[in-house]
Amino acid sequence: MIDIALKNLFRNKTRNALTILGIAIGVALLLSLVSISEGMNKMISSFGEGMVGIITVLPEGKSLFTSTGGQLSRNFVDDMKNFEGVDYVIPYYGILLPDMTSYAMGVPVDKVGEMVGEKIKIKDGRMIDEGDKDERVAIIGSTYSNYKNTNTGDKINILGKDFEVIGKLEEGNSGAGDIMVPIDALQEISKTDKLTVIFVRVSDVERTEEIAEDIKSTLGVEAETSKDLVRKFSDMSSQIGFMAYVVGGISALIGGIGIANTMFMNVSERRREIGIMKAIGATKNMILKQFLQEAIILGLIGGITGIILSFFGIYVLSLMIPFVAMTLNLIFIGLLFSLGLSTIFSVYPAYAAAKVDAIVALKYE
Amino acid sequence: MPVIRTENLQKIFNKGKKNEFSAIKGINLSIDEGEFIAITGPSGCGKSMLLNLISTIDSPTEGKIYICEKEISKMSDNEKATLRRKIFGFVFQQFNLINSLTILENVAMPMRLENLNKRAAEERARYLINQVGLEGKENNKISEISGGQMQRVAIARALANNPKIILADEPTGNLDSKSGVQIIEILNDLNKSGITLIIVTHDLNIANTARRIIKIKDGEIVEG
Repeated sequence: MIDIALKNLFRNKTRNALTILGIAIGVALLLSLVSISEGMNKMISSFGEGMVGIITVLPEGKSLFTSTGGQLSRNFVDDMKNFEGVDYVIPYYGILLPDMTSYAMGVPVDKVGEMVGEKIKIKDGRMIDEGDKDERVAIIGSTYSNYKNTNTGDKINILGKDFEVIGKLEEGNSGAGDIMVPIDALQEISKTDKLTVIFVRVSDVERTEEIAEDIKSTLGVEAETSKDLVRKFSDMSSQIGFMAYVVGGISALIGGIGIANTMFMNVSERRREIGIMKAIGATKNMILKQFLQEAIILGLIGGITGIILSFFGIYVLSLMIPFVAMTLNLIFIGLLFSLGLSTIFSVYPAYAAAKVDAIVALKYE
Repeated sequence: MPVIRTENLQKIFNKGKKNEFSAIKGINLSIDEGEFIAITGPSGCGKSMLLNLISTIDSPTEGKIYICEKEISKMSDNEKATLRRKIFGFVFQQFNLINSLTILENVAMPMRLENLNKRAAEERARYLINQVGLEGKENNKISEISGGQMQRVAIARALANNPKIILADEPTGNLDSKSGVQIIEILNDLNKSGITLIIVTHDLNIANTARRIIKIKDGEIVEG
Protein backbone atom coordinates (compact mmCIF):
# COMPACT_ATOMS: atom_id res chain seq x y z
CA MET A 1 0.00 0.00 0.00
CA ILE A 2 2.49 2.56 -1.28
CA ASP A 3 -0.26 5.22 -1.53
CA ILE A 4 -1.02 4.87 2.18
CA ALA A 5 2.73 4.91 3.00
CA LEU A 6 3.14 8.17 1.07
CA LYS A 7 0.12 9.66 2.77
CA ASN A 8 1.52 8.72 6.17
CA LEU A 9 4.78 10.51 5.37
CA PHE A 10 2.86 13.74 4.83
CA ARG A 11 1.41 13.52 8.33
CA ASN A 12 4.61 14.80 9.91
CA LYS A 13 6.05 16.97 7.19
CA THR A 14 8.65 18.81 9.28
CA ARG A 15 9.96 15.73 11.05
CA ASN A 16 10.19 13.71 7.87
CA ALA A 17 11.70 16.63 5.92
CA LEU A 18 14.45 16.93 8.55
CA THR A 19 15.10 13.19 8.36
CA ILE A 20 15.31 13.43 4.56
CA LEU A 21 17.73 16.35 4.93
CA GLY A 22 19.90 14.26 7.27
CA ILE A 23 20.06 11.43 4.74
CA ALA A 24 20.65 13.88 1.88
CA ILE A 25 23.60 15.57 3.61
CA GLY A 26 25.11 12.16 4.42
CA VAL A 27 24.74 11.03 0.80
CA ALA A 28 26.11 14.32 -0.60
CA LEU A 29 29.11 14.17 1.75
CA LEU A 30 29.83 10.56 0.91
CA LEU A 31 29.53 11.09 -2.84
CA SER A 32 31.73 14.19 -2.78
CA LEU A 33 34.48 12.30 -0.96
CA VAL A 34 34.14 9.24 -3.18
CA SER A 35 34.32 11.52 -6.24
CA ILE A 36 37.59 13.01 -4.92
CA SER A 37 38.94 9.50 -4.36
CA GLU A 38 37.85 8.39 -7.84
CA GLY A 39 39.30 11.59 -9.34
CA MET A 40 42.61 10.90 -7.61
CA ASN A 41 42.69 7.36 -8.99
CA LYS A 42 42.04 8.65 -12.51
CA MET A 43 44.76 11.26 -12.06
CA ILE A 44 47.21 8.62 -10.81
CA SER A 45 46.40 6.37 -13.71
CA SER A 46 46.84 9.23 -16.21
CA PHE A 47 49.95 10.48 -14.43
CA GLY A 48 51.45 6.98 -14.15
CA GLU A 49 50.98 6.35 -17.87
CA GLY A 50 52.56 9.70 -18.72
CA MET A 51 55.54 9.23 -16.42
CA VAL A 52 56.65 5.86 -17.80
CA GLY A 53 60.35 6.14 -18.73
CA ILE A 54 60.84 9.34 -16.71
CA ILE A 55 62.97 9.62 -13.58
CA THR A 56 62.12 12.44 -11.17
CA VAL A 57 65.24 13.81 -9.49
CA LEU A 58 64.91 15.75 -6.22
CA PRO A 59 67.19 16.67 -3.35
CA GLU A 60 67.66 13.78 -0.90
CA GLY A 61 64.72 13.30 1.43
CA LYS A 62 62.33 15.45 -0.65
CA SER A 63 59.14 14.35 -2.37
CA LEU A 64 57.55 15.60 -5.59
CA PHE A 65 54.37 16.45 -3.68
CA THR A 66 56.09 18.80 -1.24
CA SER A 67 58.63 20.31 -3.59
CA THR A 68 58.51 23.97 -4.36
CA GLY A 69 61.07 26.70 -5.00
CA GLY A 70 64.76 26.32 -5.83
CA GLN A 71 66.57 23.43 -4.22
CA LEU A 72 68.71 21.71 -6.88
CA SER A 73 71.80 23.13 -8.57
CA ARG A 74 71.58 23.64 -12.33
CA ASN A 75 74.87 21.71 -12.60
CA PHE A 76 72.97 18.49 -12.07
CA VAL A 77 71.33 18.98 -15.47
CA ASP A 78 74.65 18.62 -17.26
CA ASP A 79 75.74 15.78 -14.94
CA MET A 80 72.64 13.80 -15.80
CA LYS A 81 72.87 14.34 -19.52
CA ASN A 82 76.14 12.40 -19.37
CA PHE A 83 74.57 9.29 -17.81
CA GLU A 84 74.43 6.28 -20.05
CA GLY A 85 70.92 5.56 -21.27
CA VAL A 86 69.58 9.11 -20.67
CA ASP A 87 67.73 10.50 -23.68
CA TYR A 88 67.21 14.08 -22.48
CA VAL A 89 66.87 16.09 -19.26
CA ILE A 90 64.13 18.63 -18.39
CA PRO A 91 64.86 21.13 -15.64
CA TYR A 92 61.81 22.35 -13.79
CA TYR A 93 61.27 25.22 -11.42
CA GLY A 94 57.93 25.53 -9.62
CA ILE A 95 56.42 27.71 -6.96
CA LEU A 96 53.21 27.37 -5.01
CA LEU A 97 51.06 30.40 -5.66
CA PRO A 98 49.72 32.46 -2.73
CA ASP A 99 46.23 30.94 -3.15
CA MET A 100 47.91 27.66 -1.98
CA THR A 101 45.98 25.56 -4.49
CA SER A 102 47.86 26.09 -7.78
CA TYR A 103 51.44 25.81 -8.95
CA ALA A 104 53.31 28.04 -11.38
CA MET A 105 55.46 25.52 -13.27
CA GLY A 106 58.56 26.93 -14.97
CA VAL A 107 59.32 24.67 -17.93
CA PRO A 108 61.93 24.78 -20.70
CA VAL A 109 60.30 26.37 -23.74
CA ASP A 110 61.49 23.56 -26.05
CA LYS A 111 60.26 20.73 -23.79
CA VAL A 112 56.79 21.84 -22.71
CA GLY A 113 55.15 18.78 -24.28
CA GLU A 114 57.54 16.36 -22.61
CA MET A 115 57.44 18.11 -19.26
CA VAL A 116 54.74 15.95 -17.75
CA GLY A 117 55.39 13.10 -20.11
CA GLU A 118 52.02 13.36 -21.80
CA LYS A 119 50.76 14.79 -25.01
CA ILE A 120 49.60 18.22 -23.97
CA LYS A 121 46.68 19.47 -25.99
CA ILE A 122 45.87 23.14 -26.33
CA LYS A 123 42.19 24.03 -26.41
CA ASP A 124 42.49 27.79 -26.81
CA GLY A 125 45.38 29.97 -28.05
CA ARG A 126 48.81 28.46 -28.60
CA MET A 127 51.58 26.49 -26.90
CA ILE A 128 54.67 28.13 -25.36
CA ASP A 129 57.43 27.86 -27.97
CA GLU A 130 61.12 28.66 -28.26
CA GLY A 131 60.39 32.30 -29.09
CA ASP A 132 58.87 32.75 -25.61
CA LYS A 133 62.13 31.98 -23.75
CA ASP A 134 62.31 35.24 -21.77
CA GLU A 135 58.69 36.31 -22.22
CA ARG A 136 56.20 36.59 -19.38
CA VAL A 137 53.62 34.31 -20.95
CA ALA A 138 51.58 31.46 -19.47
CA ILE A 139 49.47 28.47 -20.38
CA ILE A 140 46.73 27.63 -17.92
CA GLY A 141 45.04 24.32 -17.06
CA SER A 142 41.30 23.88 -17.60
CA THR A 143 40.51 23.54 -13.88
CA TYR A 144 42.55 26.67 -13.08
CA SER A 145 40.75 28.51 -15.88
CA ASN A 146 37.30 27.55 -14.53
CA TYR A 147 38.13 28.10 -10.89
CA LYS A 148 39.84 31.48 -11.41
CA ASN A 149 37.60 32.51 -14.29
CA THR A 150 40.69 33.25 -16.39
CA ASN A 151 40.98 32.83 -20.14
CA THR A 152 43.36 33.30 -23.03
CA GLY A 153 44.31 36.96 -23.31
CA ASP A 154 43.94 37.66 -19.57
CA LYS A 155 46.83 38.54 -17.24
CA ILE A 156 47.96 36.45 -14.28
CA ASN A 157 49.96 37.97 -11.46
CA ILE A 158 52.93 35.86 -10.30
CA LEU A 159 55.16 37.33 -7.58
CA GLY A 160 53.97 40.81 -8.48
CA LYS A 161 54.60 40.46 -12.23
CA ASP A 162 51.96 40.10 -14.93
CA PHE A 163 52.07 37.06 -17.21
CA GLU A 164 49.88 37.00 -20.31
CA VAL A 165 47.78 33.87 -20.82
CA ILE A 166 48.53 32.70 -24.37
CA GLY A 167 46.87 29.32 -24.22
CA LYS A 168 44.53 27.04 -22.30
CA LEU A 169 44.95 23.27 -21.92
CA GLU A 170 42.25 20.83 -22.88
CA GLU A 171 40.36 19.19 -20.03
CA GLY A 172 41.88 15.96 -18.76
CA ASN A 173 45.52 17.07 -18.73
CA SER A 174 47.19 16.33 -15.39
CA GLY A 175 48.32 19.94 -15.08
CA ALA A 176 44.71 21.05 -15.19
CA GLY A 177 44.93 22.99 -11.93
CA ASP A 178 48.20 24.77 -12.68
CA ILE A 179 49.97 27.42 -14.78
CA MET A 180 52.91 26.72 -17.10
CA VAL A 181 55.38 29.52 -17.78
CA PRO A 182 58.87 29.68 -19.36
CA ILE A 183 61.41 28.57 -16.72
CA ASP A 184 63.78 31.46 -17.37
CA ALA A 185 61.04 34.06 -16.85
CA LEU A 186 59.92 32.44 -13.59
CA GLN A 187 63.46 32.08 -12.25
CA GLU A 188 64.20 35.70 -13.16
CA ILE A 189 61.33 37.07 -11.09
CA SER A 190 62.13 34.58 -8.28
CA LYS A 191 65.75 35.75 -8.39
CA THR A 192 67.17 32.23 -8.43
CA ASP A 193 68.89 29.91 -10.87
CA LYS A 194 68.17 26.80 -8.83
CA LEU A 195 65.70 24.10 -9.83
CA THR A 196 62.85 22.37 -8.04
CA VAL A 197 62.94 19.03 -9.86
CA ILE A 198 64.81 17.56 -12.79
CA PHE A 199 62.97 15.14 -15.05
CA VAL A 200 65.17 12.62 -16.83
CA ARG A 201 63.82 10.78 -19.89
CA VAL A 202 65.53 7.44 -20.49
CA SER A 203 65.93 6.00 -23.98
CA ASP A 204 65.09 2.43 -22.90
CA VAL A 205 62.04 2.21 -20.64
CA GLU A 206 63.12 -1.23 -19.40
CA ARG A 207 66.23 0.33 -17.86
CA THR A 208 64.40 3.10 -15.91
CA GLU A 209 64.90 1.51 -12.47
CA GLU A 210 68.53 0.73 -13.14
CA ILE A 211 69.37 4.28 -14.31
CA ALA A 212 67.44 5.78 -11.36
CA GLU A 213 69.56 3.72 -8.95
CA ASP A 214 72.70 4.82 -10.79
CA ILE A 215 71.77 8.54 -10.52
CA LYS A 216 70.85 8.11 -6.87
CA SER A 217 74.12 6.48 -5.84
CA THR A 218 76.36 8.68 -7.98
CA LEU A 219 74.88 12.12 -7.29
CA GLY A 220 73.40 11.59 -3.81
CA VAL A 221 69.89 12.72 -4.79
CA GLU A 222 66.39 11.18 -4.75
CA ALA A 223 65.57 9.55 -8.07
CA GLU A 224 61.99 8.31 -8.32
CA THR A 225 60.56 6.29 -11.18
CA SER A 226 56.92 6.37 -12.28
CA LYS A 227 56.32 3.26 -10.14
CA ASP A 228 57.58 5.07 -7.00
CA LEU A 229 55.43 8.10 -7.77
CA VAL A 230 52.32 6.06 -8.53
CA ARG A 231 52.85 4.14 -5.29
CA LYS A 232 53.11 7.38 -3.30
CA PHE A 233 50.09 8.83 -5.09
CA SER A 234 48.18 5.61 -4.45
CA ASP A 235 49.00 5.78 -0.75
CA MET A 236 47.60 9.30 -0.67
CA SER A 237 44.55 8.24 -2.63
CA SER A 238 43.99 5.26 -0.32
CA GLN A 239 44.06 7.61 2.65
CA ILE A 240 41.43 9.82 1.01
CA GLY A 241 39.44 6.70 0.10
CA PHE A 242 39.67 5.54 3.72
CA MET A 243 38.52 8.97 4.88
CA ALA A 244 35.57 8.73 2.49
CA TYR A 245 34.57 5.48 4.15
CA VAL A 246 35.05 6.87 7.67
CA VAL A 247 33.01 10.02 6.89
CA GLY A 248 30.49 7.86 5.02
CA GLY A 249 30.25 5.59 8.05
CA ILE A 250 29.76 8.50 10.44
CA SER A 251 27.16 10.14 8.21
CA ALA A 252 25.46 6.75 7.84
CA LEU A 253 25.30 6.43 11.60
CA ILE A 254 23.93 9.96 12.05
CA GLY A 255 21.44 9.58 9.18
CA GLY A 256 20.50 6.12 10.44
CA ILE A 257 19.88 7.35 13.98
CA GLY A 258 17.67 10.07 12.45
CA ILE A 259 15.66 7.49 10.52
CA ALA A 260 15.35 5.19 13.54
CA ASN A 261 14.27 8.10 15.75
CA THR A 262 11.66 9.28 13.23
CA MET A 263 10.32 5.77 12.79
CA PHE A 264 10.15 5.11 16.54
CA MET A 265 8.22 8.37 16.99
CA ASN A 266 5.89 7.37 14.15
CA VAL A 267 5.29 3.98 15.76
CA SER A 268 4.69 5.54 19.15
CA GLU A 269 2.22 8.11 17.78
CA ARG A 270 0.40 5.56 15.68
CA ARG A 271 0.09 2.87 18.33
CA ARG A 272 -3.70 3.07 18.36
CA GLU A 273 -3.84 3.01 14.57
CA ILE A 274 -1.68 -0.14 14.58
CA GLY A 275 -4.12 -1.68 17.07
CA ILE A 276 -7.06 -0.83 14.77
CA MET A 277 -5.26 -2.31 11.77
CA LYS A 278 -4.56 -5.50 13.69
CA ALA A 279 -8.14 -5.69 14.97
CA ILE A 280 -9.53 -5.51 11.43
CA GLY A 281 -7.16 -8.23 10.26
CA ALA A 282 -3.68 -6.89 9.53
CA THR A 283 -0.94 -9.44 10.25
CA LYS A 284 2.42 -8.63 11.86
CA ASN A 285 4.05 -8.85 8.43
CA MET A 286 1.58 -6.35 6.95
CA ILE A 287 2.38 -3.83 9.71
CA LEU A 288 6.13 -4.49 9.34
CA LYS A 289 5.90 -4.01 5.59
CA GLN A 290 3.91 -0.79 5.95
CA PHE A 291 6.51 0.83 8.21
CA LEU A 292 9.43 -0.48 6.13
CA GLN A 293 7.81 0.96 3.00
CA GLU A 294 7.55 4.35 4.68
CA ALA A 295 11.21 4.25 5.75
CA ILE A 296 12.37 3.14 2.32
CA ILE A 297 10.43 5.99 0.68
CA LEU A 298 12.10 8.38 3.18
CA GLY A 299 15.48 6.90 2.24
CA LEU A 300 14.77 7.11 -1.47
CA ILE A 301 13.71 10.77 -1.30
CA GLY A 302 16.74 11.49 0.92
CA GLY A 303 19.02 9.66 -1.51
CA ILE A 304 17.71 11.50 -4.56
CA THR A 305 17.98 14.85 -2.73
CA GLY A 306 21.52 13.93 -1.68
CA ILE A 307 22.46 13.06 -5.26
CA ILE A 308 21.09 16.42 -6.46
CA LEU A 309 23.06 18.20 -3.68
CA SER A 310 26.20 16.27 -4.60
CA PHE A 311 25.83 17.39 -8.25
CA PHE A 312 26.41 20.94 -6.97
CA GLY A 313 29.12 19.87 -4.51
CA ILE A 314 31.03 17.84 -7.09
CA TYR A 315 30.73 20.67 -9.62
CA VAL A 316 32.37 23.07 -7.15
CA LEU A 317 35.06 20.47 -6.34
CA SER A 318 35.71 19.88 -10.05
CA LEU A 319 36.60 23.56 -10.42
CA MET A 320 39.42 23.05 -7.93
CA ILE A 321 40.46 19.43 -8.35
CA PRO A 322 41.12 17.81 -11.74
CA PHE A 323 39.32 14.57 -12.73
CA VAL A 324 36.56 15.02 -10.12
CA ALA A 325 33.23 14.40 -11.82
CA MET A 326 29.74 13.05 -11.18
CA THR A 327 29.43 9.56 -12.59
CA LEU A 328 26.69 6.96 -12.95
CA ASN A 329 28.64 4.90 -10.46
CA LEU A 330 28.25 7.65 -7.84
CA ILE A 331 24.49 7.91 -8.46
CA PHE A 332 24.25 4.15 -7.93
CA ILE A 333 26.33 4.36 -4.72
CA GLY A 334 24.12 7.21 -3.44
CA LEU A 335 20.89 5.31 -4.04
CA LEU A 336 22.24 2.06 -2.61
CA PHE A 337 23.59 3.89 0.44
CA SER A 338 20.34 5.70 1.22
CA LEU A 339 18.12 2.68 0.60
CA GLY A 340 20.39 0.39 2.63
CA LEU A 341 20.56 2.93 5.43
CA SER A 342 16.81 3.46 5.66
CA THR A 343 16.09 -0.27 5.50
CA ILE A 344 18.65 -1.28 8.13
CA PHE A 345 17.75 1.47 10.59
CA SER A 346 13.99 1.02 10.25
CA VAL A 347 13.89 -2.75 10.71
CA TYR A 348 13.78 -2.52 14.49
CA PRO A 349 11.13 0.27 14.70
CA ALA A 350 9.03 -1.60 12.11
CA TYR A 351 9.43 -4.80 14.11
CA ALA A 352 8.38 -2.91 17.26
CA ALA A 353 5.27 -1.73 15.36
CA ALA A 354 4.48 -5.26 14.22
CA LYS A 355 4.72 -6.51 17.81
CA VAL A 356 2.22 -3.98 19.20
CA ASP A 357 -0.50 -5.75 21.18
CA ALA A 358 -3.86 -4.87 19.61
CA ILE A 359 -5.75 -4.95 22.92
CA VAL A 360 -3.29 -2.60 24.63
CA ALA A 361 -3.09 -0.36 21.55
CA LEU A 362 -6.86 0.01 21.24
CA LYS A 363 -6.97 1.41 24.75
CA TYR A 364 -4.12 3.84 23.89
CA GLU A 365 -5.12 7.45 23.49
CA MET B 1 -24.63 -25.28 12.99
CA PRO B 2 -23.13 -22.88 15.51
CA VAL B 3 -20.85 -20.25 14.03
CA ILE B 4 -19.42 -19.53 17.48
CA ARG B 5 -19.04 -21.98 20.32
CA THR B 6 -17.08 -21.66 23.53
CA GLU B 7 -16.20 -24.33 26.07
CA ASN B 8 -15.25 -23.43 29.63
CA LEU B 9 -13.84 -20.10 28.46
CA GLN B 10 -11.71 -18.35 31.07
CA LYS B 11 -9.67 -15.19 31.21
CA ILE B 12 -7.57 -14.82 34.29
CA PHE B 13 -5.24 -11.91 34.93
CA ASN B 14 -2.11 -12.26 37.13
CA LYS B 15 -2.67 -15.98 37.40
CA GLY B 16 -1.03 -17.51 40.46
CA LYS B 17 -0.28 -14.14 41.98
CA LYS B 18 -1.82 -12.43 45.00
CA ASN B 19 -3.81 -10.10 42.77
CA GLU B 20 -5.22 -12.88 40.54
CA PHE B 21 -8.45 -11.81 38.89
CA SER B 22 -10.90 -13.81 36.77
CA ALA B 23 -12.59 -11.64 34.15
CA ILE B 24 -14.32 -14.55 32.40
CA LYS B 25 -15.22 -17.62 34.41
CA GLY B 26 -15.90 -20.77 32.45
CA ILE B 27 -18.33 -19.46 29.83
CA ASN B 28 -20.05 -22.03 27.60
CA LEU B 29 -21.81 -20.45 24.69
CA SER B 30 -23.22 -21.48 21.36
CA ILE B 31 -24.36 -19.01 18.71
CA ASP B 32 -26.00 -20.20 15.53
CA GLU B 33 -25.61 -18.68 12.11
CA GLY B 34 -27.95 -15.73 11.54
CA GLU B 35 -28.68 -15.11 15.21
CA PHE B 36 -28.99 -11.65 16.73
CA ILE B 37 -27.56 -11.76 20.22
CA ALA B 38 -27.25 -9.02 22.78
CA ILE B 39 -24.71 -9.47 25.54
CA THR B 40 -25.63 -7.30 28.47
CA GLY B 41 -24.52 -6.72 31.99
CA PRO B 42 -23.17 -4.03 34.27
CA SER B 43 -20.02 -2.14 33.49
CA GLY B 44 -16.87 -4.25 34.06
CA CYS B 45 -18.75 -7.57 34.09
CA GLY B 46 -16.65 -8.97 31.24
CA LYS B 47 -18.97 -8.53 28.24
CA SER B 48 -16.43 -6.63 26.10
CA MET B 49 -13.74 -9.08 27.19
CA LEU B 50 -15.92 -11.95 25.96
CA LEU B 51 -16.29 -10.20 22.60
CA ASN B 52 -12.52 -9.67 22.36
CA LEU B 53 -11.91 -13.35 23.08
CA ILE B 54 -14.46 -14.50 20.51
CA SER B 55 -13.03 -12.14 17.91
CA THR B 56 -9.48 -13.47 18.52
CA ILE B 57 -8.20 -9.97 19.35
CA ASP B 58 -7.43 -11.34 22.83
CA SER B 59 -6.56 -14.88 23.92
CA PRO B 60 -8.25 -16.87 26.68
CA THR B 61 -6.30 -18.26 29.62
CA GLU B 62 -8.22 -21.52 29.40
CA GLY B 63 -11.06 -23.07 27.46
CA LYS B 64 -11.79 -23.39 23.79
CA ILE B 65 -13.38 -21.21 21.13
CA TYR B 66 -14.73 -22.66 17.92
CA ILE B 67 -15.40 -20.36 14.97
CA CYS B 68 -17.34 -22.18 12.25
CA GLU B 69 -16.36 -25.35 14.16
CA LYS B 70 -12.64 -24.60 13.93
CA GLU B 71 -10.82 -24.43 17.25
CA ILE B 72 -8.87 -21.16 17.27
CA SER B 73 -6.29 -21.80 20.01
CA LYS B 74 -4.40 -23.97 17.55
CA MET B 75 -4.38 -21.23 14.93
CA SER B 76 -1.33 -19.11 14.20
CA ASP B 77 -1.43 -15.32 14.56
CA ASN B 78 -1.73 -15.03 10.77
CA GLU B 79 -4.68 -17.44 10.67
CA LYS B 80 -6.40 -15.46 13.41
CA ALA B 81 -5.79 -12.24 11.47
CA THR B 82 -7.32 -13.90 8.41
CA LEU B 83 -10.38 -14.80 10.50
CA ARG B 84 -10.71 -11.18 11.60
CA ARG B 85 -10.48 -10.02 8.00
CA LYS B 86 -12.81 -12.57 6.44
CA ILE B 87 -15.26 -13.86 9.04
CA PHE B 88 -15.72 -10.92 11.38
CA GLY B 89 -16.78 -7.33 10.95
CA PHE B 90 -16.10 -5.01 13.87
CA VAL B 91 -18.05 -2.03 15.16
CA PHE B 92 -16.54 -0.37 18.22
CA GLN B 93 -17.90 2.15 20.71
CA GLN B 94 -14.91 4.44 19.98
CA PHE B 95 -15.45 3.91 16.21
CA ASN B 96 -11.74 3.03 15.83
CA LEU B 97 -11.36 4.64 12.43
CA ILE B 98 -8.00 5.81 11.14
CA ASN B 99 -8.15 9.59 11.38
CA SER B 100 -5.45 10.28 8.82
CA LEU B 101 -7.39 8.46 6.10
CA THR B 102 -10.53 9.52 4.28
CA ILE B 103 -13.88 7.75 4.69
CA LEU B 104 -13.26 5.93 1.41
CA GLU B 105 -9.79 4.79 2.47
CA ASN B 106 -11.04 3.62 5.87
CA VAL B 107 -13.78 1.51 4.31
CA ALA B 108 -11.44 0.15 1.65
CA MET B 109 -8.75 -0.80 4.19
CA PRO B 110 -9.93 -4.36 5.07
CA MET B 111 -10.15 -5.12 1.34
CA ARG B 112 -6.67 -3.68 0.73
CA LEU B 113 -5.44 -5.94 3.54
CA GLU B 114 -7.07 -8.81 1.61
CA ASN B 115 -4.85 -7.82 -1.34
CA LEU B 116 -7.73 -6.52 -3.42
CA ASN B 117 -6.40 -3.87 -5.79
CA LYS B 118 -6.98 -0.23 -4.92
CA ARG B 119 -9.50 0.44 -7.69
CA ALA B 120 -11.70 -2.60 -6.90
CA ALA B 121 -11.49 -1.97 -3.15
CA GLU B 122 -12.53 1.65 -3.56
CA GLU B 123 -15.34 0.72 -5.91
CA ARG B 124 -16.87 -1.59 -3.32
CA ALA B 125 -16.13 0.93 -0.59
CA ARG B 126 -18.17 3.55 -2.50
CA TYR B 127 -21.07 1.09 -2.73
CA LEU B 128 -20.94 0.38 1.02
CA ILE B 129 -20.69 4.09 1.85
CA ASN B 130 -23.84 4.63 -0.21
CA GLN B 131 -25.51 1.75 1.64
CA VAL B 132 -24.96 3.42 5.01
CA GLY B 133 -26.25 6.74 3.67
CA LEU B 134 -22.99 8.68 3.38
CA GLU B 135 -22.88 9.16 -0.39
CA GLY B 136 -20.91 12.25 -1.36
CA LYS B 137 -18.74 12.12 1.75
CA GLU B 138 -16.23 9.58 0.45
CA ASN B 139 -13.33 11.99 0.44
CA ASN B 140 -14.11 13.62 3.76
CA LYS B 141 -11.70 13.15 6.60
CA ILE B 142 -12.92 11.38 9.73
CA SER B 143 -12.59 14.59 11.73
CA GLU B 144 -15.08 16.28 9.38
CA ILE B 145 -18.06 14.04 10.21
CA SER B 146 -20.33 13.50 13.23
CA GLY B 147 -20.23 10.58 15.67
CA GLY B 148 -23.27 8.96 14.07
CA GLN B 149 -21.65 9.24 10.66
CA MET B 150 -18.40 7.79 12.04
CA GLN B 151 -20.29 4.75 13.26
CA ARG B 152 -21.89 4.36 9.82
CA VAL B 153 -18.36 4.42 8.33
CA ALA B 154 -17.36 1.76 10.85
CA ILE B 155 -20.33 -0.37 9.78
CA ALA B 156 -19.43 0.08 6.11
CA ARG B 157 -15.85 -0.96 6.94
CA ALA B 158 -17.15 -3.98 8.90
CA LEU B 159 -19.05 -5.11 5.80
CA ALA B 160 -16.07 -4.70 3.46
CA ASN B 161 -15.11 -8.36 3.16
CA ASN B 162 -18.66 -9.80 3.38
CA PRO B 163 -18.33 -11.04 6.97
CA LYS B 164 -20.40 -13.89 8.43
CA ILE B 165 -20.46 -12.28 11.87
CA ILE B 166 -20.63 -8.68 13.02
CA LEU B 167 -19.33 -7.96 16.49
CA ALA B 168 -20.52 -4.62 17.82
CA ASP B 169 -19.17 -3.40 21.15
CA GLU B 170 -21.45 -0.67 22.56
CA PRO B 171 -22.08 0.66 19.02
CA THR B 172 -24.36 3.42 20.26
CA GLY B 173 -22.44 4.24 23.44
CA ASN B 174 -21.00 7.46 22.05
CA LEU B 175 -24.04 8.55 20.02
CA ASP B 176 -27.11 10.67 20.63
CA SER B 177 -30.37 8.71 20.86
CA LYS B 178 -31.48 9.52 17.28
CA SER B 179 -28.19 8.38 15.76
CA GLY B 180 -28.22 5.36 18.08
CA VAL B 181 -31.60 4.25 16.78
CA GLN B 182 -30.45 4.65 13.17
CA ILE B 183 -27.33 2.56 13.81
CA ILE B 184 -29.34 -0.22 15.44
CA GLU B 185 -31.73 -0.15 12.47
CA ILE B 186 -28.83 -0.60 10.06
CA LEU B 187 -27.40 -3.46 12.15
CA ASN B 188 -30.85 -5.06 12.39
CA ASP B 189 -31.20 -4.93 8.61
CA LEU B 190 -27.80 -6.59 8.23
CA ASN B 191 -28.91 -9.39 10.55
CA LYS B 192 -32.09 -9.82 8.50
CA SER B 193 -29.88 -10.29 5.44
CA GLY B 194 -28.32 -13.31 7.16
CA ILE B 195 -25.32 -11.92 9.02
CA THR B 196 -24.90 -13.15 12.59
CA LEU B 197 -24.99 -10.13 14.87
CA ILE B 198 -23.58 -9.93 18.37
CA ILE B 199 -24.03 -6.66 20.19
CA VAL B 200 -22.49 -5.87 23.54
CA THR B 201 -24.60 -3.26 25.30
CA HIS B 202 -25.69 -2.13 28.72
CA ASP B 203 -28.71 -0.41 27.18
CA LEU B 204 -31.77 -2.62 27.76
CA ASN B 205 -33.76 -0.93 24.97
CA ILE B 206 -31.13 -2.02 22.47
CA ALA B 207 -30.79 -5.45 24.07
CA ASN B 208 -34.54 -5.95 23.70
CA THR B 209 -34.28 -5.60 19.92
CA ALA B 210 -32.16 -8.80 19.87
CA ARG B 211 -33.67 -12.24 19.52
CA ARG B 212 -31.55 -13.61 22.36
CA ILE B 213 -30.12 -11.81 25.36
CA ILE B 214 -27.16 -13.15 27.26
CA LYS B 215 -26.74 -11.56 30.67
CA ILE B 216 -23.30 -11.57 32.24
CA LYS B 217 -22.37 -10.78 35.80
CA ASP B 218 -18.89 -11.00 37.27
CA GLY B 219 -17.60 -12.92 34.26
CA GLU B 220 -20.32 -15.55 34.26
CA ILE B 221 -23.47 -16.03 32.20
CA VAL B 222 -26.40 -15.58 34.55
CA GLU B 223 -29.15 -15.70 31.96
CA GLY B 224 -29.50 -16.76 28.31
